[in-house]
Amino acid sequence: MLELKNLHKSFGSQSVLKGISASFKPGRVYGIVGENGAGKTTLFRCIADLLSFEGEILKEPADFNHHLGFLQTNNLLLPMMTGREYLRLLTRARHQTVDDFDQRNVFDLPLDEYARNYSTGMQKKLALLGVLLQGNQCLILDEPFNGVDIQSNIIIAEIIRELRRMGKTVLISSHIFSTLSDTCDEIHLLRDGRFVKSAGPADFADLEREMIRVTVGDRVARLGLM
Amino acid sequence: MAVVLFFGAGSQLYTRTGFAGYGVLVMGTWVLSLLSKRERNDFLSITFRWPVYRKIRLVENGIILLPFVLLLLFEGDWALALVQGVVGVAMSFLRISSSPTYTIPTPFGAYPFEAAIGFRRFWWLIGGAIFLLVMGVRADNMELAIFSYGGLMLLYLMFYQEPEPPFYVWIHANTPQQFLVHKLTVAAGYQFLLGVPFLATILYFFPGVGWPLLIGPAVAALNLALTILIKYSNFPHPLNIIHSLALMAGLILWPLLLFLLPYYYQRALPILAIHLPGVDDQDHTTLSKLS
Repeated sequence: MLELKNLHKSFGSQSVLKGISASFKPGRVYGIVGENGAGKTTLFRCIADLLSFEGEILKEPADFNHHLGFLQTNNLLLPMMTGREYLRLLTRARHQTVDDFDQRNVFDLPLDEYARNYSTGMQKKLALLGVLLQGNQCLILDEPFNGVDIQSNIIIAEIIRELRRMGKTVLISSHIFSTLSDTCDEIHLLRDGRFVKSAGPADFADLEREMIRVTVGDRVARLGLM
Repeated sequence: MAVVLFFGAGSQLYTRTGFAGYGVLVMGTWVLSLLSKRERNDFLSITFRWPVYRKIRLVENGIILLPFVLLLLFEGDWALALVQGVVGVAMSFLRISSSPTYTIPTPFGAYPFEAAIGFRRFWWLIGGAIFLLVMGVRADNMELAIFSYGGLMLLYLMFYQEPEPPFYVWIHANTPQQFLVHKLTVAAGYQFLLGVPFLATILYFFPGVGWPLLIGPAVAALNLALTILIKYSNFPHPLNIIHSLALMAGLILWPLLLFLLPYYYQRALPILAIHLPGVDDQDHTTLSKLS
C-alpha cells in the first residue's frame, strides 16, 4: 500500500509539488499525465526517497523501498558496463538470483555489449528489464514508452497488464495518452504541482478531451496556418 | 601548495624506490589520458579550427606535463623526461573513447561494477604493471617486481574513488552496514584475485622475498577499505583535498589506518542511511530533515 498525504516539494523558491494526496493499491495500474515540468518525475523521486519532501508518504510493508522498482527517465548507465552486468547488479542488489538472462531477454538486447553504446530505446528496455527482474511489488515507470519502437511498446503494455494480474502496484507516466488509457485503471492529471483531475476508465475520454482543451487552447489558431 | 605537495610526494617516492621515475611516467601518462577523451576532443575540434585545436591540445598537454618533466629532470631521469615529453606530444593526437565498441573481457563480471569497469578503463596500465613485473623477473630485480605489485594495488584503489550516481546505491535492499560489508568483501576479493598472479610470480622467482609478501596485500586491503569508506562518507560528492590527504596518510603512515578506518566507517553510515531508505526510516518527515 502506498499513500501520499499533502506532499509538497520545492527547489529553492520554486514550488513543484503543492499538496499531492493519493492512494495507490496493489493490483492496479495508475497513470500520471502532465505537461513537461508538471512535476511527474519529482513526484516519483519523492516516492522513491531519492528526494526530500514535506508531507507524508505511508508505505506498507515496512521494507516497501526494498520492493520498489524505479525506471527513471534518464537511465544513468555507467560507462564500460555491459547490459548483462547491469542486469546482474540490479538483481543481486535485491538479492534475486537470476542466471538465465538470455532466456529472459525478451527485448533481444545485445547483453554482452556496453550498455552505454545502446540506442536510447535499447537503454530504456534494458533499464525496464532490470526493474522487472528485480521481482518488485511496486513499480514506478517514468516514461516507459519513450524512444521505444512500436513492437516493444506492445510488449511493454502487455507486461504492465501482466503485472496488474500478479497483484503489483504500477505507477506510469507518459506523454502519450493512448498508451495510458490502454493500460491504466486510474489516471491522474498533474498540473501546476497538483492532481487537478482523476479519472477511471469510464471517464478517460472526458479526461483526454479536457487535456486537449487546456493544452491546445487557441495555440493552433494562433499559428495562422494557411 | 599543490606544487609543494606534488614535488614533496615525488621526492618521497624517489627516496623509497629506485623505480620512482617509472611511476612518475605512468602517472603523467594517466593524467594526459584524461585530456584525450573522445567526447572532449570531438567538442574541441568542432568548436575550433584545426590549427587552433592542435595548438590547444599541445599547449594543455605541455602545461599538464611540465611538473612531471621538471620532477624527472630534477631527479636526474633525463631519458624518462624525454620519453614523457614524446608521450605528451603523441597523446595530443589521440582520442580515447570512453565507451569503445569492443567489450574487454574481465574476471570481475560476477559482482559488478567497480572492478569490471576499472579493469576496462585502465587495462593498459595493468599491462604496464605486468610489463614491469616481467622486467623485474628478467633482470632478477626483486624491487622492481614488488614495485609492479604496489603500482597495481594503487591503480586498483582508483577503481573505487569515483562516486557512482545515487541510484546505484538506492537499488540495494540493505542496511548501511550490510551495504558496506558487501562492498568491502567484493572489493577485497577482487583485489586479491587481481594481485594473486603478481604475488605468485614474485614468490616463485624470489622465494626470499620475506615480509613484503605478507604485509603488501594486507596494507593494500586496508587502504582499499579506507578508499571505499571515505567515498561513502562524502557520497555522492567527489573526494576533496582532506580526503585525498587522508588517503595519502593511510598509504604512507600505516598505523594511522587504525584510526582512519573506524572514523570514516562511522561517517559513512549516516550518509548511506539517507541513500538506502529501508526498513529503519519509515519516518519520512525525519528523512526530509536529514536530506
